[in-house]
Amino acid sequence: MDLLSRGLIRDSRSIAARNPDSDESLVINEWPVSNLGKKFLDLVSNPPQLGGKQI
Amino acid sequence: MNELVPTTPPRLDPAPDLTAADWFAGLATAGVAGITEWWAAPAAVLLNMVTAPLLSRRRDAWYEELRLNLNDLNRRVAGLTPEALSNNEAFVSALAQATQSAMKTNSKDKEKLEALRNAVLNIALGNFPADDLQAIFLNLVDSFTTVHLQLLRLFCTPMPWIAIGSGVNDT
Repeated sequence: MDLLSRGLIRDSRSIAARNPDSDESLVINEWPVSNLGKKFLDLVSNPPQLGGKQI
Repeated sequence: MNELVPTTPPRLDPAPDLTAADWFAGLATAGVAGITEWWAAPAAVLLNMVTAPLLSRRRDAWYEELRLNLNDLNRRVAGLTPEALSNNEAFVSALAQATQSAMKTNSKDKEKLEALRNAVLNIALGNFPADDLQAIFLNLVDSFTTVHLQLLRLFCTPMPWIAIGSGVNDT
């Protein structure tokens, strides 16, 4: 939920299914990384000049 | 008149760790300071004595790893000199911010320290175009745990997750 609230991953569920009381969808649904999340991962990944990304 | 000859400065030995005499001196200072302000002064002195050696070791290890990596990068990337970095506002800000985070991070937390190190190196290389996101992302690394970083990487490459899931279903 920290990743979601900070916009690093996208909530692919329908709005009606976004029930805060249930954490079932955490393991069932897909949680794609947002563009912001990809930028974040680029920053914290090994620089290409030192052997490339380690994602 | 003596001519000044440039010489290489000698290598300094690392600062020694606290000895019994240092602890005694610290306790004595704490006791004396505690006459007027019993709780505040002794706590500051004592807690500083307790935390300083470990924080110092963490900072030294962090700087040493960065030094080695920057040296490695310097051999591969033209223009990445200490002089250039000293004038790089983004790099200096990132280094200051990341150093604070690194000193707060347990030295066993390798993944988080690696994320901080990579962020500083990427910023030194100019691999990070949006300056305004730099501070936000470094704050995120500071507040995240290793699990956060692992989860985000997992979501970025979900194949291992699928493999684990299929393994569970098979049993």
